[in-house]
Amino acid sequence: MTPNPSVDRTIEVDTLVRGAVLRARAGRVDAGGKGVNVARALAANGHKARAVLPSGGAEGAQLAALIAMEGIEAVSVPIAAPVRANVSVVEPDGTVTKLNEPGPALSPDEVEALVSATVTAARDASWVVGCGSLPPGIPDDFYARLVRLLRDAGVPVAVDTSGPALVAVLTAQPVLVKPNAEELAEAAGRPVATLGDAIEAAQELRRRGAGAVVASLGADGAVLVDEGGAVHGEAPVARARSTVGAGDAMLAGFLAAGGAGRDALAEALAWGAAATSLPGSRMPTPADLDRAAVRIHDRPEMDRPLGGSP
Amino acid sequence: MEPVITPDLVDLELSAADRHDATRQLADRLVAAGRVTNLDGFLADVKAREEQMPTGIEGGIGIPHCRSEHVTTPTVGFGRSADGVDFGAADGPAHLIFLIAAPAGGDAAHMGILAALARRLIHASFRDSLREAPDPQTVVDIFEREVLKR
Repeated sequence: MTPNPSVDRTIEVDTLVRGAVLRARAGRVDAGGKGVNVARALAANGHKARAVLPSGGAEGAQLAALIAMEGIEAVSVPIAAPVRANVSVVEPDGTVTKLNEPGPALSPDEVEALVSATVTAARDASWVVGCGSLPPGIPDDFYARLVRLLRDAGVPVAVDTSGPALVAVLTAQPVLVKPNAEELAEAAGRPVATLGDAIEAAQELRRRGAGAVVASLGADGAVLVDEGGAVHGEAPVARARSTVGAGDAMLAGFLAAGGAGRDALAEALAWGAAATSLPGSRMPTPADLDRAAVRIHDRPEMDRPLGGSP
Repeated sequence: MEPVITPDLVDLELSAADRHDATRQLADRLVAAGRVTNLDGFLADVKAREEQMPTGIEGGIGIPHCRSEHVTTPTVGFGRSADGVDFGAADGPAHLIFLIAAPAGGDAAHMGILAALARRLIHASFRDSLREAPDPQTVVDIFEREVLKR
């Protein structure tokens, strides 16, 4: 479920110059949104997934059409305001400048329709994943409410969000949260400079209610902290082409492998690394996965500095 | 607390022209039971929700629902239609129709019922037990046991 999806336009230019009229070399439009990415990654690997999202305006219609082309089932909840359009400007040296809109303001009735569409869409689900930021009009405790409702109905919920929404969801005791290093540091209220810091911060999130924490650490892999302790893993990427959506692929891989434990972490790393080696927000297919390259460290090296981008 | 569903809220021989008619007939039962105070106001609230997004799901199911200031207590009305009523599901009309009504401000009550009901409805055995229920009390018993876990 993606409360704040987007139509993502990527424009390639030679050099981005403020105030100038620039001729683009190329451009493309993709369905954007972390939950949409998770659904795409699952579908690309043979798992059925349903994407729930609010949809309004011409952008909403375009988003629905783009999602339909991906071969995933979309549950679009009509809203009055248009969904956001995000723009990424890419230069040849790999520099990406992103312009993200805040997203549509949802009315209370629209928020209720989104909740009821989500719990209905969860009818045959083994997991529900709540992904990304909350647009204006959706209260910070939105994910917490979903977690409670769905747990009572017997559905585990994983949440990948940041800021106040992440802090709020912990009180509802979600089965799984997947922050990156920056989100982890912010939510835990402590700096994350080493692997040991990341594990300590993840433990703090568990103390506040999270069942398990999978923290994605960019080039440093990921760490899983659950009731059994902490496990670190990494998967080398020969040539990183785009980290866009890599965390979403990682979460999808973790859930596809059962959503708990060391083996799921290994699968998550294989999916995340494959996504990083693919351009744009392309999601990996089974042929892209290199499971043999994944290394799992049962005794994490606590002093290891975290250097990779989150 | 009042039970969510009682035999007088169950119509095993619902015959309706369309989804609005089906909802109205079930809502009449909620009014008679003193659970809805203003029929037209309540129907307008259900219709607004239904027009926003259809509530039909595969397997012949319709689940019109809403929070409304005209509802006094969380309530489920049930209608069984042999001919079926279109609730917007892709695979055809609804034969099992659940009207979920909740007071304004009552949150977890109706969403929780919706979530639990949707989970049960994917099981053919649950749907069949409702299709074959001989009387309203049997429907109430099934609903309380399977959905409300009482």
